[in-house]
Parts: sequence; C-alpha cells; structure tokens
Amino acid sequence: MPIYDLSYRQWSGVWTSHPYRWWVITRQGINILGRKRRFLVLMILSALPFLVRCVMLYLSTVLGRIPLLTINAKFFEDFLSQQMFFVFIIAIYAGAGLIANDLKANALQIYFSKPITRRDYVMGKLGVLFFFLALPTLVPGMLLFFLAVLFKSDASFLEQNYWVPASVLGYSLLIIATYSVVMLAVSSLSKSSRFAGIVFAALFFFSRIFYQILSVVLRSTRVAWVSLGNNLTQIGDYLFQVSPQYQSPLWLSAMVLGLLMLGSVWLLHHRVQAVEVVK
Amino acid sequence: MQSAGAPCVWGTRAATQGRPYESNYCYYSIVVELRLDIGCRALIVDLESITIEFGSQKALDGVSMQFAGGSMGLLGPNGAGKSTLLKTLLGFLTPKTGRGKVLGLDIRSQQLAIRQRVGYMPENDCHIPGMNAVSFVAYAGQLAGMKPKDSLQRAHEILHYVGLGEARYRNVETYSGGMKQRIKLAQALVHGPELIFLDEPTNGLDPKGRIEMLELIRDIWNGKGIHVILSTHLLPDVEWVCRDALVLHQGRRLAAQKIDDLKQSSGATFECRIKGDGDSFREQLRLLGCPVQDGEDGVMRVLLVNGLGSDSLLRIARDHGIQIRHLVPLKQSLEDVFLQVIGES
Repeated sequence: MPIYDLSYRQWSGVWTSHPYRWWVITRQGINILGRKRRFLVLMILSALPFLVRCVMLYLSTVLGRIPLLTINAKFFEDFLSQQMFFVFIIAIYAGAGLIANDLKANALQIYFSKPITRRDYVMGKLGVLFFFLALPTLVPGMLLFFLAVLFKSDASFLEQNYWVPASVLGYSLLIIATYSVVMLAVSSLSKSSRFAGIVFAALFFFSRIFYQILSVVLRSTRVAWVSLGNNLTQIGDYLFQVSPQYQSPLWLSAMVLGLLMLGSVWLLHHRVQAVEVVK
Repeated sequence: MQSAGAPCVWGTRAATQGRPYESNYCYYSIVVELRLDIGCRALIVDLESITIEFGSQKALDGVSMQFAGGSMGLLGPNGAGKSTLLKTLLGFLTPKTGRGKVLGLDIRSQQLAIRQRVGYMPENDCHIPGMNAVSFVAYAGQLAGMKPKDSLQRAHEILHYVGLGEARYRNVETYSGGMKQRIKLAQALVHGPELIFLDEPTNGLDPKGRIEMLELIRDIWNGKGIHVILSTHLLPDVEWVCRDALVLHQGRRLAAQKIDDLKQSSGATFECRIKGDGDSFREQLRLLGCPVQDGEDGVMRVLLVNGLGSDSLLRIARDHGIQIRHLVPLKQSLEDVFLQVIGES
C-alpha cells in the first residue's frame, strides 16, 4: 500500500510576480554554467590579472617598491582593457550556446508556452552574460579602486580620483553590454553554438584586421571606428579622461557601437519567436 | 457566450449560501439541485471566424469553434491547420480576422494570462538542454511562476504521475522517444493548468506506449478535471480519448460535433449480399447519393444517407427484382465518418 499519493493533484499555490520572471532564466543559466569545470577554470584564470594588480598596488603604495607605477585613472582603464581578452573568451564560452542551443532543442516553444514574453526571455539570457562578464570587469575594477583607497592612507588620492568609480562602472557596463548583446544576437542566428562562436570571433578579428590594413594604407588612425575593440577603447579613453589612442572622432565610435547594439536588438526581436513562420 | 448541448450535472450548494458560516460546527442543510449546464457555464474556448495567413497561404480560413469543456479532438490530414489552431489559442500567432477567447480571456490581448492557465505539449521533440528531468520540469514550473521549492516538489509528483519516477534524475537528452513524450506532458502539467493542448502526443510511440499515453490523457480529463484539446491525425486516438471532435481540412472547419453525433449524422452503413442484377441496384443507390463499395465474396458495403434506412434498401431491391441474402448494419467508425466528411469537402 502506498504511503504517499503519487497521483496528480491540482496545484493551488502562490505565483511569483511576473516582472521578475526573467530572473528564473538568468538563475538557471548561471547554475548550468557554474557546474562546468572548464568554465570555472576560465573564470579563475580571469581573476589572475586582478590578483597581479592587487600585488602591484600593494607594492607600490604600501611598500613603495615600484616607484615608476602611478596609481591613477589610467591604471584602472588599463586593467579593464586587459580584461577584454577574458571578456571575449567568456562571452563566447557562455554566450554562443545561450540561444543557439535552445533553437537546436526546440526549447523556445517550451519557454513561450509559459507566461514568458520575448523580452523576459532575452533579458534572462542577457542576465547570464551580464553576470559572468561583470565578474572579470566591474567587480574587480571596483574592488581595485576600493583597495587603492585603503592602501593610500592619505585623502589626496580620493580627492583627485573620486570620479574614477563612475568611470569604472560606465566603461565596464559598456564592455559588458556590447559583448553580451552582440553575442546573444549572433547566437540567435544559428542552431549551432560553434557557428555562433566563430561568427562572433570573426566579427571582432576581421574588424581589427580591416582597421590595420586601412590604417597602413591611409597612414592614419582616423579609421579606427571600423574596429569594434577600438571603439570601446576610444570611449574608455574619454571616460577615464586620458588622451585618445586613435584620431577617429568619439561621436563616430559611439554611433558605431550604438548602431551595432540596435542592430543586435532588432535581430533578437526577429529571431526569438515562439513559432518559426516560413512565408 | 454560453455552452450549448452540454450535459446536465448534479451540483450541491449550502442553504446558507450568501452569508459566512458562523463556525465549523454550525448546522446547515445541503440542497441538492439539478443544474443545467446550458446557460450556466462559460465556454472554455470560443472562436469566431479566425483567419491566419502566412503570406498568401491561408492556414486557417474563418474557423469558428465552441468548446464547452471535457475533451476535444482536432482532426485533419497533415497541413489541415490543427497545430496552427493550437498556436493561435496560445497567442503565438495573431489572427488576421476574427475574435476568440480561451477560458474567458482574449487571445489577442491576454496571451500571458491564458498561458498561465493552460498547458501545451508541443508536437516536435523539445527540451531545455543540459538538464535532468526533475530540473527540467521544475524549471518549467518556475517559468510559469511557481516558487523554486514548490516547483521542485511538484516536479517529483508530476514525474511519478506520468510514469517517469524512476528515470527522473536522468538527463532528458538521453531519454527514448516515449520518455520524451511523457516529459513533454509533465512540463505541460506542472503548473496545474485548467486546459491542456496536446499536439500529436502519441507520435513515435510503440503500441504499448501509445496505449499508456492515451490512458494517461483520458485520466487527465476524466479523473483530474483538466480540459483537453488533442490534435492528431490518428483517428483511433481521438475516438478513444475524446468526446467531441473538430474536423479541419485545408484550414477550414468541416464539422464540429460530439463524436457519437458525428457518427450518427453521417448515415448508416450496411453490409449486404445480393442475388440478381447488381448493376442496376448499385446504379439506383448511387442516384440516391448512397456510396457503394464492393468487397470480397460478393459482399458490398452501402452507406445510406439522406434519412434512408434499411427499409429503403429492401424496397429498392424489390423494385429491381433482387434478393437480399445477407443484410447486417455496421457500426460506423470515426475513420469512415472522417473520410466521408473530407471526401464531401
């Protein structure tokens, strides 16, 4: 005789509020990726530059062993620019399959048969990338500034650099948003995560190579805006108030990134559908 | 709109209805009343002249349907518009013309509220990658708005119910075809829907698995009180599980009735063997619009339509000087009716 009724019973519990439904998707994505050992190794590796910077900061400020190292806004911008390599790898590892795998497994029908909108779905998936891309950028960037304030016992550092956290926040968010939205849009193009990863990598590499060819031919860095990475650097230089590395106008870099983001959102809007309609 | 032709049900109500009970021990009498469903219950699905177009192709052409509850089978050959109809009810597709309600909610403006209260088992193989069955079903519950703890508990219950209790910690990607059908059903049921759409639920199942799945579906609407709309091109499945049927063909509604009524309305079939000039007899029947099909050993199947009965058959035989040696009424199968309806269209 069964000790527990295993038959179907109607459910009459309490529903969660709809505005946070996207968080379910984000949480699940973080759980799945967090269980992958190789991904964890990658995340640990991405923390190494932060540890090196911490040691440098300590040696420079507390022990005074690195007299040539200046702790200023550029120190933090350099750190974030350095982290872009890891951001690129993590975006591909975590993001290439986010939508592509759902398309392959026909999972969109499952999602949209529940009270989930396309916006919830995209926000949920973006949340996964935001989380994993914030870990090597925004979080250590802010921690680094906090440590600098701690190690520099005088108030003059804080007086001179009080605006740097806002720059760290702005630059990190720009990097995270660009990589996340573009990666997600590329992921929605195909059922193959490998294909999505290759296309995303090609987008960054080829734009960089194209810029290098153009800069040699024209003997100028005015065409830096054709490279996605250069556009981020240009805006980063502006945010951290350092002299720009390239001669291309700031507004052009901002416009290129803006258009890229808008195009990606448009692509997501058209590719993420409950029903694939062939007209 | 109100349901029409729904059966009478016996209901109970407290005589003190309208004021709160004073205590758990207060005495009140129970009045048993006969309530006619006609005029009392709102329709579960109410569609009016729904048209869905994919480019120049009309997937649904002015389809109307009323479903008062219970179980309904959507019948039709491949490409008839069955899956499109289900996707329209879920709000995946927006109709070009027409209006409709599911559980009293508008299909154009209240899709999320509809999906909160219905379950959907898609036709094709689908799952969420990288999860075992418990995680998958619990995740489906959370997507519907259940709290993580509730959804996990519920996932275990549902997986036992659909017969996957032993395999619930296995990765869904390693499941067999039959198990994948069950897990799709589980994810559709996890949030306790009032209405469930099943799109070809017995696809790819072996005979035993098919019977088990159909029994499960029957239990869902018969024992658990969940309304079921079943889309399939397998007529015996509908005949076994459903009470009502909607026949679609090339996006148009051909018939919508109770299956028993559908069988009766399509006429009576007789198997007969004759002695004499069969050609003139056949010709006369054909003139009256009754199809005749010749079988083995001189046995013919005659479908009598337009109110004709066995007496008419005997009269025609007598008029043509024919002896009827064998005359047996045949029970119409849904397949006969379906082929007839499709053929007429």
